[in-house]
Amino acid sequence: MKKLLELTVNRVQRQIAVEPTETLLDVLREDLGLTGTKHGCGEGDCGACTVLLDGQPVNSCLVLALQANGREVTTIEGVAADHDRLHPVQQSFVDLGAIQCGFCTPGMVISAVSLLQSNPKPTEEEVRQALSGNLCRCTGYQKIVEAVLDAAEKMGTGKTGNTADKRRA
Amino acid sequence: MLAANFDFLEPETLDEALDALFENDGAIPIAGGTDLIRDIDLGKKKPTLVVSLARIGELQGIRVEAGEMIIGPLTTMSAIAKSSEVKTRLAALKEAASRMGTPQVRNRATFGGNLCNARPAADTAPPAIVAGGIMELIGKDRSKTVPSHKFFLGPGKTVMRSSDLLRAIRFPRLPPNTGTAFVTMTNRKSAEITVTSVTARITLESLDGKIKDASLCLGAVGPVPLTAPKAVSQLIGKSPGPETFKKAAIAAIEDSKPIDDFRGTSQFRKWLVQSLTMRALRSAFERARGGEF
Amino acid sequence: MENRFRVLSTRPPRLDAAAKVTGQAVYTDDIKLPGMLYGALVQSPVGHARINKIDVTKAGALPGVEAVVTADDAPDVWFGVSPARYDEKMFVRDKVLYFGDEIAAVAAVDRETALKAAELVEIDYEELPVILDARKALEQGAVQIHEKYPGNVSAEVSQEFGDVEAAKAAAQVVKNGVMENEMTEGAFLEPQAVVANYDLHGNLTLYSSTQSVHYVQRIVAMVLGLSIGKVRVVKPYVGGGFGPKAGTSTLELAACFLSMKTGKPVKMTFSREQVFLHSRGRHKFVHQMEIGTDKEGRLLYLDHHALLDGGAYSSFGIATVYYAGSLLGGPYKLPNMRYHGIRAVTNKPASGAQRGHGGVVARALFERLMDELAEELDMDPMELRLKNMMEAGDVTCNDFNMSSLGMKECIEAVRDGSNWKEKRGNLSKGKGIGMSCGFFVSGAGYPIYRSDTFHSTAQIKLQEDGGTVLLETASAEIGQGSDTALAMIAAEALGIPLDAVRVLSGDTDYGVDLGAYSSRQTLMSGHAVKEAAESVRAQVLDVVGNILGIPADDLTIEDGLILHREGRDLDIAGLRTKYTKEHRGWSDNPKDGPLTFREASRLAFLEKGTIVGTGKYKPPPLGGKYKGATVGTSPAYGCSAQVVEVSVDMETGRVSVDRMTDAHDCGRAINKTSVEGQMQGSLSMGLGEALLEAVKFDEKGRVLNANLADYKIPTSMDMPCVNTVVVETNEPNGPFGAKEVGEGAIMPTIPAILNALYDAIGVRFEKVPVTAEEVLRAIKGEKTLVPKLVE
Ligand SMILES: Cc1cc2nc3c(=O)[nH]c(=O)nc-3n(C[C@H](O)[C@H](O)[C@H](O)COP(=O)(O)OP(=O)(O)OC[C@H]3O[C@@H](n4cnc5c(N)ncnc54)[C@H](O)[C@@H]3O)c2cc1C
Ligand code: FES
Ligand code: FES
Repeated sequence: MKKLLELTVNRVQRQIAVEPTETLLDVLREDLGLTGTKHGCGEGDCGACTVLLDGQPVNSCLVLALQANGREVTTIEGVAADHDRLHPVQQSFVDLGAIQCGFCTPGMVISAVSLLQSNPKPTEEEVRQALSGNLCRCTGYQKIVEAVLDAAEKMGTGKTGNTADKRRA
Repeated sequence: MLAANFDFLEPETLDEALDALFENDGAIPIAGGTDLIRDIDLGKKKPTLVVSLARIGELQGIRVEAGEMIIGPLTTMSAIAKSSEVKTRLAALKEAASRMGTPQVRNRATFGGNLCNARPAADTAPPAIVAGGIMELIGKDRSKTVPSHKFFLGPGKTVMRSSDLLRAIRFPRLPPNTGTAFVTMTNRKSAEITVTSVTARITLESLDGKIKDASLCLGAVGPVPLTAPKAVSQLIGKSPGPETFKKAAIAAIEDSKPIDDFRGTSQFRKWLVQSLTMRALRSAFERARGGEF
Repeated sequence: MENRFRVLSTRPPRLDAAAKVTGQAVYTDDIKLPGMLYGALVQSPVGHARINKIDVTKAGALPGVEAVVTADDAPDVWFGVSPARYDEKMFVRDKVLYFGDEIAAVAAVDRETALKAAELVEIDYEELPVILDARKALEQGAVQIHEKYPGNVSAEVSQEFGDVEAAKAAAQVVKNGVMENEMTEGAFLEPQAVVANYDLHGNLTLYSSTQSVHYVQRIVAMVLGLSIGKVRVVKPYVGGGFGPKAGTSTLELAACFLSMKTGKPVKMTFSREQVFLHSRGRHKFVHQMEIGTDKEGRLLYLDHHALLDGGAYSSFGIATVYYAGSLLGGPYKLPNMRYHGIRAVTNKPASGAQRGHGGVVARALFERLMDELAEELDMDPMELRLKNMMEAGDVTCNDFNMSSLGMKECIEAVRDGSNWKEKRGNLSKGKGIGMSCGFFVSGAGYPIYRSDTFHSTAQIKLQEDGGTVLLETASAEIGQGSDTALAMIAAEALGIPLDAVRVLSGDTDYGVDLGAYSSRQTLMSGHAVKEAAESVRAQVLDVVGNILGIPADDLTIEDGLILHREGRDLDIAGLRTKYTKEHRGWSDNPKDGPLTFREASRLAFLEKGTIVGTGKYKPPPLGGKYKGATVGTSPAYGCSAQVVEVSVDMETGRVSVDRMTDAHDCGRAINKTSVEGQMQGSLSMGLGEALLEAVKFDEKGRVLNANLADYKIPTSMDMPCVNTVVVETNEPNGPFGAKEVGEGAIMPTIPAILNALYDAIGVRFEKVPVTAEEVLRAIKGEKTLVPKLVE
């Protein structure tokens, strides 16, 4: 039987009736239409479904929707502070070619954003560690790692003020 | 949506949770859910009611009381990896928690879940065992404590009844001049279940003295994490060093009971038991001498 | 080299980057149509069995189920990849050939109901012996698996170029060896998904995560008996393909069929386990080779046997078995080559095409033997390769024409980029350095079905209000960056900025394009796009020239401006006034400076109506008259060289790849960032196949590791940074000189790692992946030996 789930998604409070068997990923994709979060395996192995739950990256396919009750979720659709700008991590992904098929990208960006929040000046090794739960089959990770380091540097030096309007990125 | 049919409850108190588990056949507790949700999805577990422990305050956190470190079962791997208490009192546990799964999994996976799920490859079980961790169990009508090496009965099986909860894991202070270490082997550098792990504890008589006490625990080479009495007997009373460690490492092979599966043959695991035992002992010894636990 | 191009050889962000980085990009499983049903497949839970009875009563009776279909309902039509090997049907009727074979499908109001209904389909099986080994499948008396293939032979190839026996008699140094891999997976991150919508006009639209809308359109129309014109296949963004998504599958056909049955849209998505069951990834190969040289190390011959484990169906396998031999024709001068290849049928998921189609394991053994030769000849392995390599203009013994070949530059680049000379022979025990070369086609010379069809068509339409062009192509952006590369080609050819090109792609409504496989799109679709762009450009200049009374040939378009070729001023005042009058109230009308493309487009429209340029491409007649010459002949060939450094943990066997240096000749690099991305991605897949990846089966044929935890692709911590060197040549058969990079770059990775492992621990491995266990066994003197194919 459905139950009421109250949670904050991308800074907006939501109330949704959900089945106890729904995962957080199901609710985001099917009920809220936030399809930026991807389903790559459903078993915690690929990281394509990564979102921030109370600020921590988690596999949304391994969280029951009701476990998120009263909590705060940030998805790829909500990482940028302003809806028509890119987050500096997103901007660096765009600029440095860290995206190919793009299926891993939302999860990667979430993991990277979370890393830079807790560790604004990571080493390459730390970046690789932080992304080690996000599989990418296309890029060999190199340009992704470069993009995260680039974003860290720009965020550190405050050179991100002018991220491009995302329609022209 | 999971191909299952269950109800969900998230009580705020331990008593409510225990009641729910006691009164409902087919009720299963959920902590982080990283094992349980997978098992439900694969049809291995079919709960009728899932009882979330996440809001029960007394099951959370790491604290020190009367010299004992008490870890709440809901403590996540990330929290253990970051904890300075764990780092200074039981380095092996920090090592195990820091490498488990992936960053995302570590943010959800709990110590209690890892222990209660009782996989032979569970990474935090061996550190708990070598450190003499004491499991506090509680059910609606009883509570008891079990030493961690007696907690595991087989793959997925523990001494707990289905309506029991693990309430805390208590770690008595380790004697002075003690060091611990956890080493594991995987093919991939992240996101892989342990092929074989070895966890060691060494207590020296003095900083440059003989080995006064020791403990070894072998992971993923038997139905439960295995203590290694034959190997330990090669250590106690001996002078620490490569020769002693090597004898223990060879003896550890006999203590192990690996099987062949698609993740590795028993022969491979035996070789690993030997080399990882060497490494674990070396590292535990270094810590014992460095005052690091 | 100075860049004489305006748009090419630069590094603009991908056109789809913003959509993908914000999560707005729509992939097939993101699509929801009104009234949409969800489908599920019923798949075999046994490896080989006769079906005695199928009962769908219970499934059909489940509330919410709208259709249950089996072979009794579906059209009885063979399909597959190559017409000569059409050997699949939408659903099997009497017999399942592998664990996962498709038996029925259901459509229901939601996914849970569909899955439940699929479980309720009752099937009575009579189990048959399961054959999981290609050698066993070929044994006398083995049970015949597929009705079409007596002796379980799916395809057999025998070729000889030159005179191998004579060369053997002359050879001074001879090396032989064997190599076996395990079946591997594309392991793309997006599981296959489809949404089919059969509408009231009898038009069928299929959204599919495919690599080729064209091939899918033809098969869907053929199987369902629809006219091709009524079948539209659309490819939304695709989350990686690498080969396995290039063929048409029962998932696609069943969704279409269910939509026709129910009159509603039907979505179906594979679970990760189903991705493994469907597979179509890299075959398991066994290769045996002998190579011989004269005493200076000049290659004289290759004698080569291969056995491919094909699984239950052919998929791309007929091409695979040819490629496995033919791709060794280059990049070395090899005057004599003999090849015998057999592809066996087994009770496993079908293997098909995967990045480096057919050639990867063969290349691994060949390059390992080159290393052994170098050792015996006491030569630096780079020297041996430099000595033997072909140059532009050379033709292989099997008639491949090296119209451009930067092999030497590649070898020199990795030699210098890796400090090869200082490191080789000077690393401590447990550390090693190795190198290898590679070689690949730039597009299959022939379509997969026999046809004179153009391989690519393209239209470019000028927007009436000027300034923007619409590029329409049926080519498939699957992550490799083809939309961006093709837009860049269009912009360059037209003389306009990249952001004036809008790309519409991956839709059969936009024409014919064989799709993203065999590394063909940059070259082939690129040619078609270039031609279309040149046509538009000529039409626009024609109008402007006419108005200005100047020959159109004297005019040019650069950076979106219409200029006189010799730099003379053009009197455009009248034109500008006319444009401005039409755009009263606009704030951004051009005021001064040369005539803009935007103005010119508007004027051209006013003169001639809609301006459309079309382009098309098919390869010129290519060499080779022998049987099988259609597999491997290509308008151009890419090549590469690689150096890898490894360290081996001598106590656990774990291998770390510490450094990789890679150089690839891709002709003209259209977008360097994309080229590097293809190289780095290829290397990571190669690393996985060399050390980690293997699909494993139990004795019943069930995949044991059908998930991304136990099927281990490299993580960010396994893959080092690659020193990535793009070598540019000018390929005469490519648009603006461009050729492939998407697949060739994987070729040297496995052998370079194997050669580095030899350097590290002195063992020549015969089996990949070289897992930690394999390494440790070898260190303990228990290396796995692979039996020879022939004595
Ligand atoms: C991608 C991935 C990688 C992984 N890698 C590793 C790895 O490297 N090493 C490893 O050891 N594990 C690994 N795991 C397994 C898993 O993450 C751990 O076992 C984890 O610690 C389980 O904790 P949890 O809180 O998620 O448990 P849950 O799934 O919530 O619970 C597990 C079981 O324990 C029971 N339980 C939980 N808490 C209690 C309690 N307090 N009292 C009684 N019963 C309780 C539950 O009922 C359930 O049966 C991995 C999992 C995934 C998905
Ligand atoms: S979909 Fe959640 S980890 Fe793969
Ligand atoms: S870009 Fe395709 S999986 Fe990462």
